[in-house]
Amino acid sequence: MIRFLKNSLILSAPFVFWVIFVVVIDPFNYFGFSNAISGEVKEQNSGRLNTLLYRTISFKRYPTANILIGDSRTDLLPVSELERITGKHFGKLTNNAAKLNEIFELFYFANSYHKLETVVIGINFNMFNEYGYADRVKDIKEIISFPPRYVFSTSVAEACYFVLRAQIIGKDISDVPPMTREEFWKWNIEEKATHWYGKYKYPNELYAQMRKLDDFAIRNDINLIFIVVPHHREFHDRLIEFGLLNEELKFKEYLSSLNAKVIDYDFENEITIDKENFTDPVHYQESIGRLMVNEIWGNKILIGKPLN
Amino acid sequence: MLIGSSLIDYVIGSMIGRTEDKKKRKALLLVSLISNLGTLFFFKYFNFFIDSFSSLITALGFIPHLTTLNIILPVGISFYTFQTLSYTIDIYKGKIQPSNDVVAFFTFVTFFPQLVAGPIERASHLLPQFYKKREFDYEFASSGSKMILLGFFKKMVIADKVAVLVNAVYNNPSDYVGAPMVMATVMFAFQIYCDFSGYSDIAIGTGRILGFDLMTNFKRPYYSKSISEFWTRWHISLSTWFKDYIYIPLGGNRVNQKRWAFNIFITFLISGLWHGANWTFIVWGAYHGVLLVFERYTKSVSDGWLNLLIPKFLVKLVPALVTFSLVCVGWIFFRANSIQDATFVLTHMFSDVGDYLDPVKMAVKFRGMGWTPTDLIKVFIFILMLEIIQWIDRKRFWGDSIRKLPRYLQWFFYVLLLTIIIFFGIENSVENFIYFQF
Repeated sequence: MIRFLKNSLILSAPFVFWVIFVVVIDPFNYFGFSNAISGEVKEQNSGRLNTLLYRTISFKRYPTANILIGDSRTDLLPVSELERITGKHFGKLTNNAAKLNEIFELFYFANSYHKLETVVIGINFNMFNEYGYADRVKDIKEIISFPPRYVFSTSVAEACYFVLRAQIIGKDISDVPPMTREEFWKWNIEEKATHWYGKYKYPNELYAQMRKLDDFAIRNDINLIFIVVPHHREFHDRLIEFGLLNEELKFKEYLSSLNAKVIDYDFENEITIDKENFTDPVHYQESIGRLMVNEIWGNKILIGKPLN
Repeated sequence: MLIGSSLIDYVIGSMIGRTEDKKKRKALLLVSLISNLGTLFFFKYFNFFIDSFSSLITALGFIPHLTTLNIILPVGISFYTFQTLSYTIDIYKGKIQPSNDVVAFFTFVTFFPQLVAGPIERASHLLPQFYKKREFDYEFASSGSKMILLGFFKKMVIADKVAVLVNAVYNNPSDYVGAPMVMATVMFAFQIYCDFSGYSDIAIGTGRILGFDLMTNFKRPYYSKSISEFWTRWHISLSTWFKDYIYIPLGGNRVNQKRWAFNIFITFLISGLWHGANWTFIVWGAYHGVLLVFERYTKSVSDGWLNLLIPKFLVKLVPALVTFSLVCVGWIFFRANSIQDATFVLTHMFSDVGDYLDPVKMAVKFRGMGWTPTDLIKVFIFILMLEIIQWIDRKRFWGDSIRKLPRYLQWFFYVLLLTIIIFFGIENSVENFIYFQF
């Protein structure tokens, strides 16, 4: 029996060391006990590796009443400009390739930590698809509520490696695609558009969730704003090939029936026809982000189209 | 339920053991059969038969006035009913003596590691172990721990991961026509194996740590070279139960060919029904019955062709692949939510073979199920790891083979296995064991 218990202890020893290691490195600032790794290194590496986990933990620690929720396109909206114009502090719960169901879940998650006042949600037609589904927020919530889930998460293990590497040799994670701008542009037009639009089904459930969220915002006096961010026309026009133009029109009609404010930038206008306004077909330049913020919050909408 | 069922069988077992009167013994056995199977029928099949009967008479143009009952299936009822039933039948047949130790008997029926999903133990094997004084046996406990480790690896790392893909496809087959159906079906074969044999490993391992030897339930079933071999390797405790208590009493193979075919078919039909009150399980059982009959009638011909057409080094691999494919077809019925869904999968799974080499089209087809290419690579690596362990296990217990490695490598292996279980198991959503529903 003693031998059996001794061997069991030996087997568990590496895991005890791992727990101590993670608490010390703490790549996502979950515990907040240790300063072994600088905040900047964590943001540059853990923040890029798993943006959703990084931002939700950050939000939990420092919740704000005003937030931006969406994917990488929403992430491009300049918070500093927004804060300058509105005079309010804004937080971000954006993450790469966020799905609409995840965005809705993040909305309620955020509201459970801080009574929300203004919520900006970036939305596009590609998100309004039953097949555009992922369930990462559920995992994140589990991690947040159960520390062993954080300590023994593959994301955390990976982040530990990257933050240590950055701290020791000064090499951060790169998010630059491994191809030229032209190649990446072409890849987006051909493959990404096929992936987004090649399989479409009207999302009954998502629409119901959107309505519920809209009602919730009214009942709880939350200023909810949807922004349909711009795509370059070349990308947008692939909708024609997939026979989805009517579906896109319907999507915008649904949006216009909401109580929330909806501003559309994804139609033929001076932003979407100029390639120079985009880093790739679906990500606008910083200047366009500033322009949209100034239009919407400066109450002088010239290019954008209010849908309701 | 459990106490009632155990009490009836304990009392009836004792009464059968006390009398030599054949008629009385038979009557007592009948009481046990009716009470056990009656309870099982009521809880598990009553609504199914009412629904099926209603559908039938509706189809005949009548209006049925039958109502189903709002009843919950007691956990593990199919398993402990068969376990207690075998006790009285074995006493009736004179194979074992009735137990005089009521505590031992109740512990035998309610032994927690195997209560809800087996292995379905026989009284002759497990009951005597409760009479003995147990002492801690390091070797036994160590092998048990290793089995538990492998069981968790199968369940948490593989079964729960592939469940995401399988559930997405089988819960909405029309959304995933073609390659995703093929992938989900093959993955379900691994899911059900890893889920169920993983549970059995954990149960047997737990038993070993406590000093009990539970029967083997799986012996690398996907290595089988025929369907008949598959059934000597898959859910052994149940297939031997059906063999001993249904197939052999029906005459087994000591009858003419037609009667043998009937015996096999009926046995597998009942086996399918045992799994659940749904036509999908009945068709699955019938399918295996038909395959076994067909296999026997064509064995000499197929063996001849096999030796003639296939190079010698593939002689074992090809039949194993054919058997695996046939088993996978059966799994379509087992997993589908209805016969209609199963038929849809069968008729649409190969509709896009021409697109297999187009990665963009394939990526689109798999969209929406919550699986990424990384998940696919991970699962492939984990299944490969499992296959290596099973390959090592084919001659002796894999834990004994690992023991031959240098000590540091042994520790490395177990720490690695535990690391994979903790890191990759914890990130999967928790799925109930599939066989808990039976």
